[in-house]
Amino acid sequence: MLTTTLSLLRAHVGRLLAASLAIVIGVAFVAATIVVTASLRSSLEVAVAAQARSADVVVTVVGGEDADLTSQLSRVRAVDGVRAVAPMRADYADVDWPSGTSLTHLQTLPDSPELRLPRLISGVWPTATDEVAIDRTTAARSRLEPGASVTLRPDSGAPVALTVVGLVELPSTLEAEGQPTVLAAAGDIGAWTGIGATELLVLADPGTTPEQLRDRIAAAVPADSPAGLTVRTGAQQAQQELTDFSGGTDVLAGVLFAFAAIALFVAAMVIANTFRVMIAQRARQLALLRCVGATRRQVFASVLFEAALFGGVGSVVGAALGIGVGALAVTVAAGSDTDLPLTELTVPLVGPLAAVAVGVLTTLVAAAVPARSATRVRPVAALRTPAATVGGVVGKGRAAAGAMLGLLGFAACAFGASSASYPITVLGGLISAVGVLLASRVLVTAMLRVLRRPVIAVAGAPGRLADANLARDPRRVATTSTALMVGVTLIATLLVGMASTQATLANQLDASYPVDAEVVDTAGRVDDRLLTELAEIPGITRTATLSGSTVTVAGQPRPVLGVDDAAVQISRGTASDPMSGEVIVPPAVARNNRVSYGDTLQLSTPAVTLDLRVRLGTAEVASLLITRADLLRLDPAPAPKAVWLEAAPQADAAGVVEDIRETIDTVGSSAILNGTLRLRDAYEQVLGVATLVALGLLTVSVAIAGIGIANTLTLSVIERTKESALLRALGLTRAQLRATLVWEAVQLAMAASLIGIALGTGYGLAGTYSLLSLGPQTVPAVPIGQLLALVVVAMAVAALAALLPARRAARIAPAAALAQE
Amino acid sequence: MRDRTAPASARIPDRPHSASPAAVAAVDLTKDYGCGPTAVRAVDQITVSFAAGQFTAIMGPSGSGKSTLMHCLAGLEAPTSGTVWLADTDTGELTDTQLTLLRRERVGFLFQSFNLLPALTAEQNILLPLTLAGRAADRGWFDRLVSALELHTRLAHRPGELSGGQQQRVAAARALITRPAVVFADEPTGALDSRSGAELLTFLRSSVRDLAQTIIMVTHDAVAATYADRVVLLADGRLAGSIEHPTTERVRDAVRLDTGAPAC
Repeated sequence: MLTTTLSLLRAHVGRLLAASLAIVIGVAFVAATIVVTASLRSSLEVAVAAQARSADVVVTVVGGEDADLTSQLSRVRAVDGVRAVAPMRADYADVDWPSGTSLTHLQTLPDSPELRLPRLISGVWPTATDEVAIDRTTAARSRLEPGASVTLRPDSGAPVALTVVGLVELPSTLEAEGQPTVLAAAGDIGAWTGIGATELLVLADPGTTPEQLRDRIAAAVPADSPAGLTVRTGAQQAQQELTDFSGGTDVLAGVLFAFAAIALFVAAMVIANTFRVMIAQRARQLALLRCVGATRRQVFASVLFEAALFGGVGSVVGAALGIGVGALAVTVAAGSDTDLPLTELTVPLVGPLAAVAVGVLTTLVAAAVPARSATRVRPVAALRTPAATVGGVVGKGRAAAGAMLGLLGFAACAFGASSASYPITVLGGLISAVGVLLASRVLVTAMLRVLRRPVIAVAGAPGRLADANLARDPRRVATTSTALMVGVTLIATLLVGMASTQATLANQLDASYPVDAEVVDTAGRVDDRLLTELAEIPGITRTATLSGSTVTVAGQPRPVLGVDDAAVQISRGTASDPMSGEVIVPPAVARNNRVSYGDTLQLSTPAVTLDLRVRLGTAEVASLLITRADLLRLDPAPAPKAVWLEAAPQADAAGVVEDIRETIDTVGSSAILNGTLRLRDAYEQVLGVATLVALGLLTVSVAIAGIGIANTLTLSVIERTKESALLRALGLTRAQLRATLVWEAVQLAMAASLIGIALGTGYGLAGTYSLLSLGPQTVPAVPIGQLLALVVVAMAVAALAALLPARRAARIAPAAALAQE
Repeated sequence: MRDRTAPASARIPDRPHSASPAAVAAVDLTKDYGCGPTAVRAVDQITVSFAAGQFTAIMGPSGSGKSTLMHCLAGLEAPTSGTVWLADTDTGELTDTQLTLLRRERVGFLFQSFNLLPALTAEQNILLPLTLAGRAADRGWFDRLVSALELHTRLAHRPGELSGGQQQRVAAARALITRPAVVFADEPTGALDSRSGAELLTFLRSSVRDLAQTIIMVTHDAVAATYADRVVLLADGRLAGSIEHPTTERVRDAVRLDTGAPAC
């Protein structure tokens, strides 16, 4: 039987090649995912434990109020073989940045260069007391250069003037998300905040191994040392930190593999369909084999062997391709300037093997059901000419079960959305998806019926033929369209979810922060040119200039702005609308001065002192806000210090923010941008990247579905040779025959994608409501334009898929209708 | 596969004229298609037996049930009622696998068209039943068949490279390669020109004479029927007579009489 199978396989290689593309892509996806996640993991491992690995020995103590290794410092220094000891301190404190006061991360910069992880980009390393280096992002935001000064305001103790002498690039794990970072000597940090050293990094003399040094230090440390003191070699400490590191890699890996699983699932559907149609085509040959004495088991094994063989070849090709693509992606990411933690390329040995195994398994599972139906071909079929397939009655039981499951699932989704329970929503989504798949025949047939009139109106005779062809085999139509439907549903879910999330986010930001954009220059002044240029930016509807001054509060200089009616009109709510005698205080300043709602705050200039009632304001407005009248009492000639801008509701945050920044640069101002637009831009950038990546991943599934359509069409063209020849003989032109096939594919895609976007909208909205848990504050947004574009893309993919089969069909000679078997 | 030899009491009575036992027999065979009011009775309680070592033709107008009878006799269709004995085995008692093995070892098939797997060479097609059984070919027997059918130059060719007559000869070789108990031929000359048809029929006849094969052939061609030792006539699903040592005239007359219409 083996030789027979191989011979049969050789004859069908061409047809199988197209279907094998599906498994190639699916397996390539898996292999690339394996490479990327392995590289991610090793990159993060390198980054996370980098500090520990830079030292020969690390002495640590469990953190806490009294944790301080300073007492052990001299003892450790005295140990034989110690070259240098660096105490490591870390703390948080408020720092007055030009962009506003905010909580800042204070980190130790070790004295020994080999222990320094950050990279100096400009300026010099801090050497003197109160000299610091800051991270590049913060410097850019506050427009700081080396030489600038900022004020540190520790919880206890006097404010300290810090001199920024250098700008650094932080390694990706040292960078606290969105939080400014200040690097300083350990002694300085201790002096500012009083925090203890929780870690001692020790470097060994040449000639002393880390293990030797560790043992010596451990012996030197007395029994009354701080609780939880541990001495490890740098490598050991790195290992320990890795174990503790819970790893967001697992989450990312989970997400990537989920997408790979989707791609494989779609590939499996394509393969199952291809085999099904192929077996229907080979019915006579199979019947002959059965006549001549092949048992059902032999037939089954033969089909599975074919599947295994072409699955194996496809998987090997796919694995090679995937590893190549994954390696390329990692290499490009590592070489690029971004903060992505992808620096080490790792190709795990088991990776390609796992990918191939998965591919072969998927192919076998996908081919199993068609293989079983192959065994049911009756031997007597060898004696009769098979009629072209006319699909059976749509199984009522299946459709009913599907409808029930679907309704149950949708109800669960709705429940999950209203009760903000994400797991219930996901479960409901899965159940309803199964239901939809079961009922897909009915759904697709119904949708095709709905589309019939419009299609015939547009397409004419080819449309009519296409519609008739689709109507006669609901089973095959459903199976072909399912893959595309899955892909479109997923993409639609993503698009609707993202749009709703962004809309909700914008809503939340608007509620929390009163001003769309504030361009403020606390040191200098905002000149008229800047005002005019800003007003002309597309998307900006109104502007207002605010005058301000610098006043003394509790001995410290603070910027203050006078809010007039024009400014009040632009801001939302009352958070930036002070009453007479009131001062609106940013949260960080309030914290610093230990005042809250209702307290009195004293604002003084050399000439005047005002006692004002405190009201808490929002961050993103960096200055104290008082009425213009009150400002004039403090400073009779205030200079314009800030511009408040209102943006149109539909304005593109990223575009407006960029325009504003560009305007500021062009005018040569040192002003800083605050406000909701900036925040929205920052969030949307992250969301946008995530969306693009997910979109790219899902597009692979759509591509695979397109291959499936091409496949099925090719096979059905071959099946319908006599029919097509007859139509040509009766007067259908080549172009019309091609058009018929294209319309078949396009109609199928239209039906599948319309169902898909309907489902996707529902899932996307349900997901957003349940995930964000904001209840009525969630803003549902359905990006109709994007969804329609998705439908058009699906139709285009289908049309493309139909091109080759259509050309093949057009080549059928009319005389073929008369030829005998 | 368990061979079940019929107990003597249930043995089909041999036909008086031949001394050889029956290779194939049907007892009260009935085959219906469809159900309810639209049911069609293709074969109606036919009892017939076919002697071993004989060439029998089954004839009748279209709709007489001759193809259905053959399908049932060959084990390709399960009868609605009645029994079929094939190579001393009651086919009704067999599982699908047993039936398949029976077909593989003991039965040969020759159809009107589409006999061969297009992807295999002539030689591979001939040896197909043995390949399925995992058995090596009896080279002597193979060579004998090939030379009798004059196929030695065409063995490496695929069916697409063979003429219709050559394809049928390859199929005939395949039908005989296992030395089956019976060969079923369904209109084997229907798609051939008269010369190729005559060659094939001559070979079939000689295989009965010289190689002691049993052949049951369904045909509507009166000339083809004359190659047989006996013609069994069917009409409306029932036996309508039989002719020993048929001649063209006798066959034509018999068919015309049955239907009152010109023979197809």
